[in-house]
Amino acid sequence: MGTINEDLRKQAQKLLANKEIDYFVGCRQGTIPFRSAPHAFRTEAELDQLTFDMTCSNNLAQFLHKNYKKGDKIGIAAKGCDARTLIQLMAENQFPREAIKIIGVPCCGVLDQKKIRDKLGGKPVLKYSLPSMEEILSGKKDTLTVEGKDFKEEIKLADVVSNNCLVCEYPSAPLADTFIQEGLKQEKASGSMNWLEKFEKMSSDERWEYFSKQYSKCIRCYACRNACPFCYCEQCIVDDSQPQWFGKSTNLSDTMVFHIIRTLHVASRCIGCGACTRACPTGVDLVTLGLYLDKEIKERFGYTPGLDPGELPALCTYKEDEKQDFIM
Amino acid sequence: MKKLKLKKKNLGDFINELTRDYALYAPQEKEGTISFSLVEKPEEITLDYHNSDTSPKEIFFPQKEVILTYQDGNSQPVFYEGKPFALLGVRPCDAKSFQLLHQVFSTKKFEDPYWLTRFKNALIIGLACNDTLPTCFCNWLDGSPHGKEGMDILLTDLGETYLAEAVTEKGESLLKQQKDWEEASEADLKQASKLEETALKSLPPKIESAKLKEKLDGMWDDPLWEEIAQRCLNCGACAYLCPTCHCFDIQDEGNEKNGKRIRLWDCCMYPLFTKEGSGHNPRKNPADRVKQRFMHKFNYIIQNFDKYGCIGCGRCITYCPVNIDVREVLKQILET
Repeated sequence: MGTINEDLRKQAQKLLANKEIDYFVGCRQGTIPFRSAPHAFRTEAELDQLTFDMTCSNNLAQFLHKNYKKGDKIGIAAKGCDARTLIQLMAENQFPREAIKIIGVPCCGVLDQKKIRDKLGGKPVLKYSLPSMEEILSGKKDTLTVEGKDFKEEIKLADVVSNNCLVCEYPSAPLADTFIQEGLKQEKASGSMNWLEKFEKMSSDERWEYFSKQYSKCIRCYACRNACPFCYCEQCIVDDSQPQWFGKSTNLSDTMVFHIIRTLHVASRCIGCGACTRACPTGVDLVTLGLYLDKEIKERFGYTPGLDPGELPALCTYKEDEKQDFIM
Repeated sequence: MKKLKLKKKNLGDFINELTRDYALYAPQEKEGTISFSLVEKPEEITLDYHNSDTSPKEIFFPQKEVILTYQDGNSQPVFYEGKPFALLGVRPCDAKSFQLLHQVFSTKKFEDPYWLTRFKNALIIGLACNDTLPTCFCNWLDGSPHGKEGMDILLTDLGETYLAEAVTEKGESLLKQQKDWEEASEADLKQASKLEETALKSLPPKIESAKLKEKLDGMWDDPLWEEIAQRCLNCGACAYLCPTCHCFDIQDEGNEKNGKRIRLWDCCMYPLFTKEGSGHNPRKNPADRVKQRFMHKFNYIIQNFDKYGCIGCGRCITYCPVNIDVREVLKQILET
């Protein structure tokens, strides 16, 4: 047994060598701190760039789905949320189970660039060092070091991990062909639910104020929609022109309608990966409402998306015995 | 041209003076995002910053602008009627972007009255970069951290004071009014040029940018576009933060009797951007849209305006969710 990255490369190499897959989806190190680039590894020679750590914050299942063509056989390094996305997309008939070789990787959350930036007051990071995944997962280390022009600081990982990771209930792939270093598998995020609970305690006026503030930051770049693995409509409702359902400006009424429609459209399908929030260049909190709806759906319908490739999303199906107390 | 010194403790007075004659915009932080916003009180602004997250182009070319209203068969164009704009603390790369946008919006064939109304009387006070960001690369594209292009006055932070150099006649006459600002000494100028030298050294080694256009001439069918498109989300984060992107859409809001016509930013990454009335889309494939972005900046704009269509601010590098780094793309283009 080597390191997580060595084992991951070995697995990918085996799949490529045996022609079990056409390509392997993973991350390679990015060109700036805390960013990685999703990549389709097609040759064994490329695999020394394959890497997995807390900077791998993109939803790789979104990358896979976007590039998937019928008949493709694809391997993927899957965090819990990547795997749940794949399962959910299978439930939505986007690709068959046998087309994808899921290699589960042990995950302890991904970093939120904006949290790091806020923590440092905008000071640019020139160098950083993250402990190895093994050290973090086994609880030996819980900080990262950042260095800039005239500072060097240690930051607690828990302070800069994405919000959704703090409440993640499935850090490990619920369905995988192989799992890298099973011993390091995390069962449930150890982070606190404080932030979601705080939101739940808000009055409806406070929530309105909170979301108005958030959506007023939107610049309509659609990075959230395009980073979302479940926003794959051939034509998004905002791109309809006959009729055009709502305005395209950055007026709050327009941005709010867009975000609320999007959230409702992915409700009972959203697995809370947080890719939307991390993709947003202006730091709009998009994941809170999604996670909250997730919770509601779980309570009402006993349904959690992304666990069973054979089960349709709660809001896309109807069961006679489900709670109907909301019907007057 | 005049070279004076503005004591930092007197900056507030200068700002107050500017707000009397101008609609003053300067970098301000709100909810963790730095943008150029209208200054009401001097203490709201922050000049101790690297660069704004959003580009100041939005002052002259707003993301949403009502350009016409109509009622019962009569229409009325709507032009900006407020005080002339003054921008304080504009970084050299962004000031340079205004020059390009001005060229685009005021060609021999077409003059854009909406841009011109906002831009023509504007006062641009720049702020030299003593401390560059790891994503900065203005030196690749005819820029410099202490560049003056597009400014009326350049400020350089010397610690206790700002060196204020007039760049245009307009800047000169404003500085002439500052009776209690000291003349800059030889030592001040030396310090400024030393700071410039240090800033230049901190930028990445130059590439052969002059060859980009010619290279791209032969890259219409290059597999590079497909390779980038694999991970490109086709979102507009890069374009909407970009100081030089200037594409827009025009929409009508209202009904047949009364309403308004608005101009909104648009982006070549969106499939709807080129979709025609017939339903045909000449850039249906995401890779074609990726190609358009790079071709426009590093080929077509050079051909049409004899300038790079990028000023090397690095905003797109910082915010691209999938790490499409324009510097890497440029290197790949040169290697092709």
